[in-house]
Amino acid sequence: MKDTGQIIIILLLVMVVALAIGLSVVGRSINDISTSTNTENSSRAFSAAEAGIEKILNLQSEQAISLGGKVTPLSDIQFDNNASAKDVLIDAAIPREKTALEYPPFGKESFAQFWLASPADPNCTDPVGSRCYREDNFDVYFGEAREYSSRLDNLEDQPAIEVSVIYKIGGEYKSEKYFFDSYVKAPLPGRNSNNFNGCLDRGDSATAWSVPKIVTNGGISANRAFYCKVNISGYKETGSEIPYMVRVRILYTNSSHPVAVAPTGNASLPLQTNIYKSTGVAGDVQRRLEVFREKSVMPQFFDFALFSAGSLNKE
Amino acid sequence: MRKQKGFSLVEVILVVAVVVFIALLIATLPPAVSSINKSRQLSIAKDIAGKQIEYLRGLDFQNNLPLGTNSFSSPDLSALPSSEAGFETSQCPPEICTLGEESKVVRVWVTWKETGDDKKVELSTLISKGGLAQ
Repeated sequence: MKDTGQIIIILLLVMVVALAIGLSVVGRSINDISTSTNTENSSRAFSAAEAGIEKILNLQSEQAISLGGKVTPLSDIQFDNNASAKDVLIDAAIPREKTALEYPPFGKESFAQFWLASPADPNCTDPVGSRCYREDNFDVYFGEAREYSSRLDNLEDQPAIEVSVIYKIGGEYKSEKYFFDSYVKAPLPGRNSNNFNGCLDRGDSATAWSVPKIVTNGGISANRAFYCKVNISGYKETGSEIPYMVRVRILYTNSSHPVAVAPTGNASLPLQTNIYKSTGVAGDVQRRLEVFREKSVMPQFFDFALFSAGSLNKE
Repeated sequence: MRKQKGFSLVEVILVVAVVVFIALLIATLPPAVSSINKSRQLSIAKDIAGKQIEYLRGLDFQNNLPLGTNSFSSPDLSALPSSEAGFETSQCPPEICTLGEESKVVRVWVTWKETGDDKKVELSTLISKGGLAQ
């Protein structure tokens, strides 16, 4: 029998296969070109954003728009390679009055430091002007607010913290330590008998994975949510202690978590932090940078040691 | 009816169409492969420039960041044909450092050749006294 029409089917098949190969190659190369263009723009934008931060860091140190400063927008920076930095600003008045100070997320290899005395006036010679914190208690919020499986009594990297309150009494520096664990039931070895205190408030309900939200850093990061809230008190036994600083370490967890210290009552924490912001633009790409810089932070390698002109007592 | 030998007109047209189509496809393959190679080289160049900026940021602003043009080397440069890398530091011009900030403009570039064409990646930033890594 004579076969008619077979050649057309074979030809169509060959064309379809060739078309598929062609389209995939062309598609991949277009994708690669687009990715590499965006990557290059991203690098240029990042360098420009860093330039904005560098500019404002120098401005801050040279012209002393330091603590007590204000939001200072700078003019845009335009570079020859079509990259620019815009929205460059410093906020040197952090924390605002009666609001919490939040430290960016950090892991157990690091620590957070919060001043209770003003770093500009550590001996608190001007209690009102330097906003010394004289209260005998404050709140600490910590932990990323998300759904852990703690509700099912499983351990899932919930953080614990060590809080050291350093204070000065009669010319001597002393420290008081507090320990809290956001994981309550701990059947696993190493954690079941740590005798840490639990959370005063914990975001473990089925609907809300955070304690009530708080305003931190004076509205820069307003309505921040945390997993656990605790209260620290009792470090002013005689009443004449001058609270100096708070150092917080994250324990157990392998991930990074934010920590915030919130004043109680009508008190305020002293000004101690500058936040710098800059946005780099190149082509369609924008890169936004935010730098958190504290005044006078103890080096990481002195984490377990305090140096004092006088004797140092640990309680 | 007498049996006709040879190909019909439709078959001839189809064969010609397929041959033209495949020829076009093969002709577009080299540019596609070249563009993949180009994007790879662009990424390498961008990384080299970025690392150099980080390195310069860590140098002492006053003494080790002199003004002028310099070349630098990187092991990754060997992945780029006929490549050269350099950077230029200059005083921050008044139109950028409007408030007299103590900063230097740093321009880092990497150039290479790709099938005879000159390619270049250039990053610009500021490095200030008391800046990010100072």
